Amino acid sequence: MSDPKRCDSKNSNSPDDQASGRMKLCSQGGGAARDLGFYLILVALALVSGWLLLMPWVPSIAESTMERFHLRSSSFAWWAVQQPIPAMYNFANRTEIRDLPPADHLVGLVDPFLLDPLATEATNASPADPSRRELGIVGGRMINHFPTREFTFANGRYRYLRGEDPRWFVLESRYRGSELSSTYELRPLPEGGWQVTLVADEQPEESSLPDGKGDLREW
Amino acid sequence: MVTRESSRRMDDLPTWSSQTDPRLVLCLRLVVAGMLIGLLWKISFFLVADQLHFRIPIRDAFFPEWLQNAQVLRAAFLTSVIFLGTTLATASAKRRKICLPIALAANSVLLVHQGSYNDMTFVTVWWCNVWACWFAWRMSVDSSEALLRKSALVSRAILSLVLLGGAAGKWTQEYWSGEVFYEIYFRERDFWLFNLLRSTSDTQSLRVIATYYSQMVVLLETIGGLTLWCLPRRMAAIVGATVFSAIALMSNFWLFSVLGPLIGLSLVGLVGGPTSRSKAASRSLRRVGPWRSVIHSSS
Repeated sequence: MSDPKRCDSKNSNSPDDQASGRMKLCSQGGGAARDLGFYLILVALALVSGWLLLMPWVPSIAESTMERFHLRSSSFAWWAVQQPIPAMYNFANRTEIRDLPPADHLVGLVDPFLLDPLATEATNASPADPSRRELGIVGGRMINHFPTREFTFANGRYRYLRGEDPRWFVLESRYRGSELSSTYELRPLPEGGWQVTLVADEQPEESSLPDGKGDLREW
Repeated sequence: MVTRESSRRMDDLPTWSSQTDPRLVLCLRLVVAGMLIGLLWKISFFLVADQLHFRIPIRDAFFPEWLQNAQVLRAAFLTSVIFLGTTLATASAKRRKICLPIALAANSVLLVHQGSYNDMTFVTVWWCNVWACWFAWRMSVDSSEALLRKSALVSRAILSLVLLGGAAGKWTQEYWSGEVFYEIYFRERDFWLFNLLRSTSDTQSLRVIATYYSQMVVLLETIGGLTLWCLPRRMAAIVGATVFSAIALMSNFWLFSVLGPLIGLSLVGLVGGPTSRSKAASRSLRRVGPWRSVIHSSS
């Protein structure tokens, strides 16, 4: 904040001074200290607005926001810097919560027939409908923003993490052709609580994958 | 000795005398009250959530250790509420200048804590807190009219940004088709509007209504985000308060926690309408445009 030079009556000798010279100075701003805070806020707002306006046309901005939503930014600091950016009901975010790992993790380990015994259309059904869920899926839905809230938000902790069985959270965000998928595994800790591990990630489709990305990775 | 004439002149003076202009105090209180409403709107949920954060902790290396700690989250929330409450109640400018930065620090923690990062309440509260810090600091520096003009512009710019933030993430097929809102709200959300629509429409009609609803939201946020900042301040205040109230009333009452602070910030534009003197001044300033007049008065 700038150092204030108080624009009040203390420096005036008489009401006449105030009514003429001082008032003129104040109303024109000449008596007030330069308002750096005002400019800083406007600059910050302009920068964030620019970021938002470019998001549909610059895939790396959308990807950065998706990584923010999936808690996968390149660093915590970069994630934290983006947090003041308003993102209400952004992207199409879908979640799937499983008590068995995603099917592609079980290849060769479990008979696929056991994962989908009736081999019905349930595979493509909405996981929000319990009667049509694939075996291994305990919940899922379209979510407004931050699909990771399924395990960090209190609701999700209560709904899915009350027992002692591990859970897998399959998260997907889509925006104008870009897509980011993440699978988090949560295992109970002996001392209480749950350990979060990112077990599978897929970078946004439009981005170029650096070497080694996309492999199983533990945090 | 103060004569009747000089006393009358004193009454006509702008309020940069030793007394703080009550209009400025009202502006600040509107915004702080909005922030407190936002923070306390879901207090019943926050109380349960607080217990759950202790009973079901999760360890994620993405967050620094202290930002996974439930005690830190509880302390940050209480600090924010206590210091904003003090700001609302106090008449002391010095106390306001101490309380608001502390509340901003606490709200910054809430913005990035593992247990609260996903709640947009803390985003809108954070921006309002930035506004309030700046405003409280300038109350003793600027003339009332200059500060009312500048603060109205900053508030409009923040409101535009929030709407733009909502709009930009919806400029995608899944929102334009209504798919997202259909799944989040129309299919099974227990809310008066969606209950009413479900009871009177079949699935196919519901899907069509969801598309129109979603497109209306996208257009409303886009137009608001692009234009609200440049509307006249009273019109912007009325439009902002109406739009933000309508969003909550038509989709989810819980959203008042996110939108309450913004409604408070919108109302700033209603305080301190143009006086006959400032009307005359604005007529001369109009030649150089609204931006020049605000920026001139701030420098």
